Amino acid sequence: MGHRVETLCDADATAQLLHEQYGGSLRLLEDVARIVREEMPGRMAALADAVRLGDAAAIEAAAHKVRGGLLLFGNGNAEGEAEHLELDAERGEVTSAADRLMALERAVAEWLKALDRVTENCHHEDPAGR
Amino acid sequence: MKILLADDDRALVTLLTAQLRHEGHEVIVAGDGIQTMMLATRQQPDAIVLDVQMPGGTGLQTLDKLRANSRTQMIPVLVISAKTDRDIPTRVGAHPLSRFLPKPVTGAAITKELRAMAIETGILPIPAA
Repeated sequence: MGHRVETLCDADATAQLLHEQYGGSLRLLEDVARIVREEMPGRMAALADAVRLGDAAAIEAAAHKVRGGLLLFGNGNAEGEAEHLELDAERGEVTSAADRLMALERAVAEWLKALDRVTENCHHEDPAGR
Repeated sequence: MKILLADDDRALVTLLTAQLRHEGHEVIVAGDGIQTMMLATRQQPDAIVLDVQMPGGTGLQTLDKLRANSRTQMIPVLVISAKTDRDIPTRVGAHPLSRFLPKPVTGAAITKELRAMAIETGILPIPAA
């Protein structure tokens, strides 16, 4: 899965993702995208709470959860930011967590917009919505 | 092949369940370590796909329990994780009939690993290529 969701606005890349990762099923891709959209705010809120408390173990676990959702649509900027937070926390390093969280929040916002474009592109690929 | 998929990530479970069913497998799902032990014991799956980060006991703790239980110790386990910790593959590899597969994973990648385990161990039914 070498896709980057930021580049998936390109219809060809979206078609490749749909074919390789979702077996050509737009319905499956939309189901997964809907769940990720529903759960991402809660995961980000849990991460923000952990950062506010300076709790390294909680940051590591919450960043890992965020990264898990992001990875379902390829690695990219947001996934990289989440991984930085997770790895720093794993080492007990939390002093830069607030800055990293802000960067991640921006990247996730962009990622969610890109995800919307992915599903739009898929509808162009498969208007029947199979 | 009956596969017990143990992961608490609803989106990943939706994706992998669809992919594994498409590959011809029967899939049962557990959302935490306790449920994994219960379903593994009662349902006797052919193989278990086990996430490392789960509530109710981590995947590695659950793997220890699976191997210590006479009813589950011979069930092949594929441990999956997005954790980059190099210690995890080593800890998984220390157990018999256990392999590590880094996330992101697909149903096809899981089937490929299980096929390799089936050929290597002779325990599992060999899934179609």
